[in-house]
Amino acid sequence: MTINVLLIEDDPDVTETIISVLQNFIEDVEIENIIDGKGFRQGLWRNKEWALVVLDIMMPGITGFEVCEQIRHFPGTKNVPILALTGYDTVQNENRIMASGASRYLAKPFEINDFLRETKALLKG
Amino acid sequence: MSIRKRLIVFLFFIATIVTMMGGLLILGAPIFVNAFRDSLAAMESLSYIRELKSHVSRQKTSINRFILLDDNQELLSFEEATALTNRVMQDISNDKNAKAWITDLKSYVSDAHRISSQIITLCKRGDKQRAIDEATSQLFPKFSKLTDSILALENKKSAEAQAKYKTAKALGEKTGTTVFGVFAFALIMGIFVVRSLYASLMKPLEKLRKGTEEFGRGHWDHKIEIPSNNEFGLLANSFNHMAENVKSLQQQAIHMDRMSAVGQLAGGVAHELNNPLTGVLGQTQILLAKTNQADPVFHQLKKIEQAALRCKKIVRGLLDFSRPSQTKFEDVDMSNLLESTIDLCEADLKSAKITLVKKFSSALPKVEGNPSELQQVILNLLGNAIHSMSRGGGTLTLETFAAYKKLVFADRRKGSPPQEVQGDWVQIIVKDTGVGISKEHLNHIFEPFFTTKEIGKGTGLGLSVSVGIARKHGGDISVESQGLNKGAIFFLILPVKGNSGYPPGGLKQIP
Repeated sequence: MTINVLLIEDDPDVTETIISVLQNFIEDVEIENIIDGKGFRQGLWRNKEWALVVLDIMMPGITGFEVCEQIRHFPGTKNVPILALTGYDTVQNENRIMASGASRYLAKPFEINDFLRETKALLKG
Repeated sequence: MSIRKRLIVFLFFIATIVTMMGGLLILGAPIFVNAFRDSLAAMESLSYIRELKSHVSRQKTSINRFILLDDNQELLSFEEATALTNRVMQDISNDKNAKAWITDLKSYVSDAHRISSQIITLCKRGDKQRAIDEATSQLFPKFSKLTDSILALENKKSAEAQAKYKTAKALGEKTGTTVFGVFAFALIMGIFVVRSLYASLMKPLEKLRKGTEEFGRGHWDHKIEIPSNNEFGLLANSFNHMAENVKSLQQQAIHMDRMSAVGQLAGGVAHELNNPLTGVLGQTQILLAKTNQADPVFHQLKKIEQAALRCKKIVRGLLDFSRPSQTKFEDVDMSNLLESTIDLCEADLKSAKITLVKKFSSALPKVEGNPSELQQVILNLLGNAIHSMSRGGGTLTLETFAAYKKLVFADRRKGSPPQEVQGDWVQIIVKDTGVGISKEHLNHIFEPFFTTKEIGKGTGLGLSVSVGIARKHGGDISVESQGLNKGAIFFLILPVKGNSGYPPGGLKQIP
């Protein structure tokens, strides 16, 4: 069964790394990438059933907190695990994204082992 | 002499002068007035006598002419002179001062009048020859006696009046001289006292004015020099202290400003670096996972990974530095925190052959703070100490104690005035026997990005972050080092939560 992962991230370096990690270490994974608020607001993500959402807190046009809340608000995705990422690691950001509905939180730059551990845990759960 | 004392002396001086002048007037005036009055009385007596003399002389002349010329006009003149003589005699009788010398005179006057009446009667009867005889034998000798007596009296009274006038005059002059003397003395002394008072007020006031003007221009290095111990000296000292504190605060503000600007920059840079760094680290680790360890590429990849991890650490440091303050404070037992932090450094201590000496207070009051931030500070201080002794080992001494009242941190830093802050404090001393800090570095070690470690070993942010955390907790960090290879002592001070309940005398004073 294909594992659908929604990657909401604007930075190409991070996007490519995450795609590489997922494709190299998790079998049968399909990834879709939304790069900004405009892409997210189009709402195409609502048409698919996601196994995991990987979300950057800071990106153009929309904040990760808002994205998180909207995903949780939509019935089709309200229970999907969300792994939040941030390049600006503060206690405030962590508390806020967790309050917005994220399942886990990881600071950039992460080591792939940590990323995989979190991802696998979320996919299993 | 204090201004208060000077003013008291001045007022005392004024009071003394007023009392002296007043006393002089109260005591001296009646004496002078009496003498003057005596002199006036003597003059009055003299004028009576002179009047009497003139009337008696007129009496004598008139009666003589009347006898010889038989002129009734002369008789009228005689009677008028007699009436005047009687009136003067009456006036003299009424004057109590004159009574003493009037008795003889009275008898002469009454005798003269009695004889004159007889002679006039003789004349009126036409017995002119007998009247002439009577006048020659009786009346004129009587008048002569009377005139002599009056003359003698006049001389006597004149001398008396002159003497009394002289006494009064002398007294008046004496009083005048004394009053003038006292006045002159008061004036001269007054000028001295007022001049001294003026100098003691105006000179320091002028210095204070100039000093505050300098301060107003922002010249906080200016010192108001008033050597005296009086109120102005104390005021000048207060001003100087204020200026020193303002200067120190200004420097702190500049430092904070710089820290804040650096912090914002660091935060932005760190954030921007994290994305590409995720790529570098992630892609390298993917490749590493796919590569056999025997492959020579593996080692090169490992090196890239290590470099990326080091970048991660540096960026982490930058972020810590710029991180906005966290407000979650709780009660922290610094002894426990120190113990758990030492555990983290155990391996480093062993590998660097460092002897650890712990002098922990058994009853350290708790502080209010963020434990992970405080641990970061301790870890930084321990890390620096260990690093300073990494070649050749040494002794790391950790000391904790509660301190009361006196916070003298600022004066350990060059150029900062001592600051006293009341309250209870927990002090943690981290002392090493390592490479020490040179004098020129001592003033910079708390600045961001200042490091003496070799490239790659330090970010130059550890101490500036630690100071920031300590200050956020209401505390501070200061340092002491005698120079290179003489070790260093770091002092971390944190305020005790609320009142520690320790009696003031029971706590050790920060040296």
